[in-house]
Amino acid sequence: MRGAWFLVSGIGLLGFIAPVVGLVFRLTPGRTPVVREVELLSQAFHYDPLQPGEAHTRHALGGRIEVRWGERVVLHLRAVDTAHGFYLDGYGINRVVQPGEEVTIEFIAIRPGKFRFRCSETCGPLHPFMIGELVVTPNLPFYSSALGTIFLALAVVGRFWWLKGEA
Amino acid sequence: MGAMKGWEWLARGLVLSVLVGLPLSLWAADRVWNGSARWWIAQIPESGGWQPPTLEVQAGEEIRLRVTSADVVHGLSIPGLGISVTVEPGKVREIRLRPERPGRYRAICTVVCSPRHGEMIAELVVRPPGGGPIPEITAAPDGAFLFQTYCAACHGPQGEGKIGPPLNAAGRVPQMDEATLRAIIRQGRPGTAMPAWGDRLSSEEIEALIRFLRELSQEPSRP
Amino acid sequence: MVVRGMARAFAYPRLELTRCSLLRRLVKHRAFQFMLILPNLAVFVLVLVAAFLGTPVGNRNFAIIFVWIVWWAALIILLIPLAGRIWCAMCPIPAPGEWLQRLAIVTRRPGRPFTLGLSWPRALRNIWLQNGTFLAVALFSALILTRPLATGIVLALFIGLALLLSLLFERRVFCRYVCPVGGFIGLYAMVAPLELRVKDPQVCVTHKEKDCLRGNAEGYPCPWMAYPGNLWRNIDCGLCTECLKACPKENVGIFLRPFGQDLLLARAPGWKGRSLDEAYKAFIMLSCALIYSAVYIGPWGFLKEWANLSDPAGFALYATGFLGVNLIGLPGVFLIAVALARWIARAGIPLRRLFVELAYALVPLGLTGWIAFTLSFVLVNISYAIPLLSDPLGRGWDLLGTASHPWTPYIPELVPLLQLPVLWLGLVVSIGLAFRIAQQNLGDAAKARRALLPIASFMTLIVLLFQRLYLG
Repeated sequence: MRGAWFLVSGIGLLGFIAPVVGLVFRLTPGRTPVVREVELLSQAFHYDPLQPGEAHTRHALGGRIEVRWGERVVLHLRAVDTAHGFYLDGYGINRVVQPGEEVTIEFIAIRPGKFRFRCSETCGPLHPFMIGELVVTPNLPFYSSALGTIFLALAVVGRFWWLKGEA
Repeated sequence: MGAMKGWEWLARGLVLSVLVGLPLSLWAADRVWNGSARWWIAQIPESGGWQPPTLEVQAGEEIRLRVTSADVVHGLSIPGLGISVTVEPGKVREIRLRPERPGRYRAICTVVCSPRHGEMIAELVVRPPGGGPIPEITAAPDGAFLFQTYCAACHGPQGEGKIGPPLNAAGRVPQMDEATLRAIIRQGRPGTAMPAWGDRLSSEEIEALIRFLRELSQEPSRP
Repeated sequence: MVVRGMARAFAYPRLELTRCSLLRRLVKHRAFQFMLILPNLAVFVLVLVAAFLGTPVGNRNFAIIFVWIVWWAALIILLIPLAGRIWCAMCPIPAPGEWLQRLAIVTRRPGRPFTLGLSWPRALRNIWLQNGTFLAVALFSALILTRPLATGIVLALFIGLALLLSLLFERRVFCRYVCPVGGFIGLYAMVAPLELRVKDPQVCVTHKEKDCLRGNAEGYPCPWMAYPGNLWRNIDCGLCTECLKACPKENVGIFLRPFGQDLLLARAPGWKGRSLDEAYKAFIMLSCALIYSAVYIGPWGFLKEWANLSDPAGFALYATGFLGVNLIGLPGVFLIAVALARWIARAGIPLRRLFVELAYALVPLGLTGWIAFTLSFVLVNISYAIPLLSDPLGRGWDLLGTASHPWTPYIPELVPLLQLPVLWLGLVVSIGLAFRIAQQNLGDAAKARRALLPIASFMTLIVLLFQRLYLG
């Protein structure tokens, strides 16, 4: 029973290490990058990614872009109402776009995981909360840390089940 | 107990200095930084546009004009005085000017700040020193400045085109005659983002713009 | 082992900090609390001036950045987890009212206090009102967090209400029963490793005069209406140190102790035991941490628009959802987990009782959830504070030459790596606490183990939800 507990706890610990690997180290896959073009509209206080050619309807649902690890991402950033910015966590990209302009932002999605992009040009009261998400799939940090959570919980509960004498 | 009395008075003094002294010193600090300044605060037209809508000064008077934005990024341009600055929210830009010639100077926003951006117009009124009527300004308008003010946001700072078509040598301006250009500027292009400027620009200003467009479209590599 | 959680005169190790004579003299000094309050009063005045007269641009206004980023982060990440209600000791909001009641700032003025001196209605001697005031503020947080004027009005209302209540009622009823912030500080202060307690409860039992309750020449009667002889939990003590000054037996001290001891307590003399109002505070705080993580940090523009009151119908939907999750949704799912636990463990205890008891196990998870949420914006936005040191009102000053320092997010991509261990710590502690509480209520370890399964699953689910929002 002790063995079972140590096994579960060990896997739980791996859950912590996996996202560190995903977030800290840049693991660039060695294939020719596939280009992923996304039109990104910004308006107070959210981002709307559109597929090329898709008309803009004010759906304002999730400002979430999903790309695959290692793809070359080309964003065509536009502003609908007033000037907005685009700061991408982990890439140091910071651009400003005014209505009428199109700003093209290119980068290679070198790390898996979720990276937020934020408005960097004050655009109104909720400006600090104007946030979108770039999800580089497979989202290893999320999956591994979620597994980590489950094993961690198992380890804690298991302490009371399996290590009765020592609890 | 005697020692505590001293503490009590000290505490009262400290509380008083925080409640009264601190606001007073904030006021004093503001006098130091902003003492003689005139303010122009930019807001999108939906929230009221420029505040105040009309700023009155005396001719020959040295003015510290402090400009800021209460919401989003704007630009302030006073074509008649050769002023053009970007105005960012919560940041204060200072412009020093001494307008000599009395008149009404139009001030506009140069950054597309909202769907009603085009309505964001204010006026700087320069009164003659001894009072009396305010004359209309008759100086020849500067086409390059007008272009940067009104056109560059959509057509690009060098006329290279953005959401609007290019107006440099690569565009269709060289093939257009004066009347066509005049009509487009005056009436706009219905169905596109090009607004009608007829009610915002004087005929002199439109002619100056057309002259500048001719220059621009003849020089492929204008800086 | 602390069976059934009976307070056995502090069954945990304690280190008395006030044995250090310098610290003892400091906290026994009548001006001690005033010295804590004064700098905060100065900042508070600056906040109010900035809120009402400064720029309406939130991220360029001292009031917004120093209240909702600097103060908030310090409170939730440092002050509460490490020192419990220490903020309540230094908070300037109730100070004017208390000084007026006493007609003195630091001295112990004898005689009748300047107040009608009504006693607080018995029905409200709990934190239900604080649950309500917190929800009221939380519902309009999108306005309050981003508009200097709204922040100013809310803070002015707090100070006005505190003043009014101090004129009508005895002592600090505002702090104890009304303050929306005091409610959750108290709940989470029970986690802190710092406590003000008596050294030996027996001394209090035999001491008939009860100077701490009545006050004496050295100290006022407890402003928080607590009796130190029966003080077992940080939620009931504002750390004002009046009893330390008043106690003629030198029987009150400030102690360092293991984290979270108050949450293990199930029964104690003079305490009615775990209660539904505090359980609901735990639900509300946990729900809000989740909802805010979705609304403010999430990518969903429509949620932001609804919360921002951009259109009335959207806000009505948001308000319904917000209050629904807080009051029915999350407590409801937890109730199902508790019902399952009760069924699996074949426990005879009433469902309502077990529901209240086990809810206290959510306190560590709620606190770590709030720390994780706070981490998601504090490192990103703390640089807004730098220009404000030079230009607090956004009026174009440059006192220190930092006025044009740009917005600079610090290690935003590594924030999830900080959030994960915090959430996991909360999960581990909360599951452990749930086991202890189950043991207290079900009697034997075998039943507690079985009861733990659905409760731990609920907690794991909560952490997975946070993880989905932060990393997924």
